Amino acid sequence: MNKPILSCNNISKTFGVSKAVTNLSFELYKGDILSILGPSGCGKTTLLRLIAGLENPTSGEIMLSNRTVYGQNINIPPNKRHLGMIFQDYALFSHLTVEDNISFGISHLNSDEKKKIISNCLEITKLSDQEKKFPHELSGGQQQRVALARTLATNPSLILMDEPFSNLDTQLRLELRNQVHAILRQTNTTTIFVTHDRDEAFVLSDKIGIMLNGQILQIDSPDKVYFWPNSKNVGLITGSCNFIKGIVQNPHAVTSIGNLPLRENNHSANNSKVDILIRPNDLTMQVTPNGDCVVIKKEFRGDETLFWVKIPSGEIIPCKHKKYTTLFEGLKVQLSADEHVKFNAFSI
Amino acid sequence: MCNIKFLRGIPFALLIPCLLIAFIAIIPVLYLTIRSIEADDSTWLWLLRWKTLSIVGRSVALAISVTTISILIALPLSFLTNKTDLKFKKIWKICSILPLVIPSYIGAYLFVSALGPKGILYQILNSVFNVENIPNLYGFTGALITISLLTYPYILLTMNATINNIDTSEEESARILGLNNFAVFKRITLPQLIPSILSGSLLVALYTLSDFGVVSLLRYKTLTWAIFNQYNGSIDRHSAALLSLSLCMLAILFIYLESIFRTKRKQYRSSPGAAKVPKIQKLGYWQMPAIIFCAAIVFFSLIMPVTILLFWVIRGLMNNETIPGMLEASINSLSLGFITAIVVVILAIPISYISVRYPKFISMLIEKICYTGFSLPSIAVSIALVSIGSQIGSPIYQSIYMLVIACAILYMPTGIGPIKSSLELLSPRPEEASRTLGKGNLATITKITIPMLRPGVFMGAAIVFLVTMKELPAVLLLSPLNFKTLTTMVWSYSTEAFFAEAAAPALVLILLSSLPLTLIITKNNIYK
Repeated sequence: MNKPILSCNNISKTFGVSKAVTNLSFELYKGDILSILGPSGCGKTTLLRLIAGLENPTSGEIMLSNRTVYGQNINIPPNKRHLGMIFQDYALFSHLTVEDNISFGISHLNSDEKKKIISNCLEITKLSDQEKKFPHELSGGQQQRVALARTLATNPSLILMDEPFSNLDTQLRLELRNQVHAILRQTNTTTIFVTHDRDEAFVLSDKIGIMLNGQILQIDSPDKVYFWPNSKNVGLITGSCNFIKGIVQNPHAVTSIGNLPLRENNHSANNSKVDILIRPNDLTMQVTPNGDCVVIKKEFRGDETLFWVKIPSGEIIPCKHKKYTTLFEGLKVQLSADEHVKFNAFSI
Repeated sequence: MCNIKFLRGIPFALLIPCLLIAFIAIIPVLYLTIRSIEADDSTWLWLLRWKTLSIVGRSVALAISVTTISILIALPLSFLTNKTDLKFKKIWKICSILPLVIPSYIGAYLFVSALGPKGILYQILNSVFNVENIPNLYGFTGALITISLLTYPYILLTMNATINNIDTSEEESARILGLNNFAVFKRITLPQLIPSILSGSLLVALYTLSDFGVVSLLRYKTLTWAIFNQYNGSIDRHSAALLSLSLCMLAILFIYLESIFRTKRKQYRSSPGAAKVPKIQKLGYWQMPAIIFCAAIVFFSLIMPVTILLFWVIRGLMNNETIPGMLEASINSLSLGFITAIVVVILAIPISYISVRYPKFISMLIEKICYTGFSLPSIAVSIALVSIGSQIGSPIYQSIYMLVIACAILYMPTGIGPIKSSLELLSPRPEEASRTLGKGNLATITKITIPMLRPGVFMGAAIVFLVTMKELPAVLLLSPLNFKTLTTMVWSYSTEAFFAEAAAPALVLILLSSLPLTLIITKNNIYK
């Protein structure tokens, strides 16, 4: 196995009495795209700023490409860490042209090399005829790409992106995130980006770190964090869901909507009480006059319709219906688990 | 990076110059304090005499009266020119700010030359109606009228900057809740304006307190007058220092009072959302009285002084009078303003930078110290520096450096203000981006921060240039021998009642200081 590009060991950061990041450790390898997903205020931006050196950890150690950049008596300033950062508001230099913005970090090179890098970056980011413009003359998407080009020009070992698409409207966001993804892959750039948009995290990353209250709860591939969350919170952060109570009777759990098969990896002791994670796609819903569940809310979302169903125990769970349907609130339904679906249970 | 805990984070390369600057800024206060401590009992007794105390009382009375009158002028003006359908609004708006270019001692000289004994009014009345005596407007009344008419723009400026930023949705909801126009103004608009009225009033009060030209020309004996006389008339420098220190204490008391009133009030922030078009009040029957009010203020504060000035200039030209040394004085004034502006900008950038980017105890302390010039009357600073200079001797004493240092100490806050506020608006992200792109602290400041700060730097420099050109006491006390500026020319001619001779340098001074003011007005979007 090759050496990690980045490794964080036990880093913590407190601001006064509030803890922004607590004992956080993880590693990242060349070419990986890691997204940090979590609600606002969970410490994700602080984590990026700690890695960049814009803030100093209260304790812990950070290594970049096998070099300790923060640790006992070591604190390499951001300008010597050789990494790139893309800010939420892009932070373009408003007094410099696109070209000068891009060449800002490579002013030590000779002019031939600079020209080559600039034209290469302009080409990758499809900005080739914009180099003489000033940032305010560009659209939001173009500004975003200038920020990327400016960072790529320095050929950093790691790029950090802080909610890079949050300032764009939906259409542009989808378009740009595909473009950026393609560029990062093409240049084999190791990247960490921070987001609170789970779709973005799923689409863009090789790995997702789920962050809450200053801690990374789980780092795994997108499908793992969705289908095999290691805690209830990870389940909640990665998608719509709810929990119902059940009693373990391996390999099932007994619940008020029948026996639900459990995943092999989280078998609990027989007869123990568990919370079972229910995702919208887990259960099939059938309308029947003697059904014991009631539709209490219908959320039409365009691509799909989500129903919130009250089960006999009084708990409420989400349920998706594939086709457009005229099912309405108050209707009696019967829920059943699909054959192949297995459930995650969490001990109480 | 520093390792001492309370300094942590501020780069040494920034901290050390800032500490030096703060030290220079505090020198006058230190000196005055030491001098006062050294003073013997008799000097203290002299200070506590009834006569001295009454002089202090006069200073305070004048400052409070001028502030009150200025508010009474500025408040309706600001409301009328921003919130109503007043006719010729733009003209009133610009003309009501222009009196700022007339230094108060020129105002006083024009006042005396027009209304004083042997003045224009007397000459007219005497030749036409054979009137022998005209009412004496010297003293308190004259000083009050002159200073108020020339300083109300300070309040107007701060109010105009705020009045259009008041969230109109608050006024709208008050209307919907059933308040009438007047009640909306009283209960919604006015409370939000109070912080800006307070800060403008503080400027006016401090200006009046430290004014030397007007009270001397109009013979109203205040502290500044007493300080100057003590300095000129006695060998014992302790009493002048003691009086100066009392003046500083008074100024600090005013600042303290303002800060008490201010903290009692909540700072208002407009709610997010789309910018709303400010609501315009229809004046209706009040249109005419409003126009008369604005016209009267503009007439007395701008048109009349300028007319009198032009009268003297034209009379001088018609008599083919030439005033020697005008060109030299103009060049001296310009270079003094220019050099001071540059020095202040150079000093203000690091101070603003550490106070905005490293808001720690030490940087706050440094900033506060650099603001002492704001509270110190220029005559007190000059007294302190001239005494220090005379002890050091050459090359400092009676050199232009001393004068520049005095003006820099006095006007550093003026320069820090705009630079700091534009730095506050500047997101730290571009600087952080620069650092992640491999640039160190200093390279980031020179390549990113300063270029992006340009508007604030220009604004600061323009204001410093403007106020330095108008500065009187420092120039009188600290100028090298034979160093004539436009201010000293105006001063020496008008104190000797050579009204016609004083007119030409006064006019040039006003025209020259109008240039930066135009820049300030056009750059401030409130006047667009």
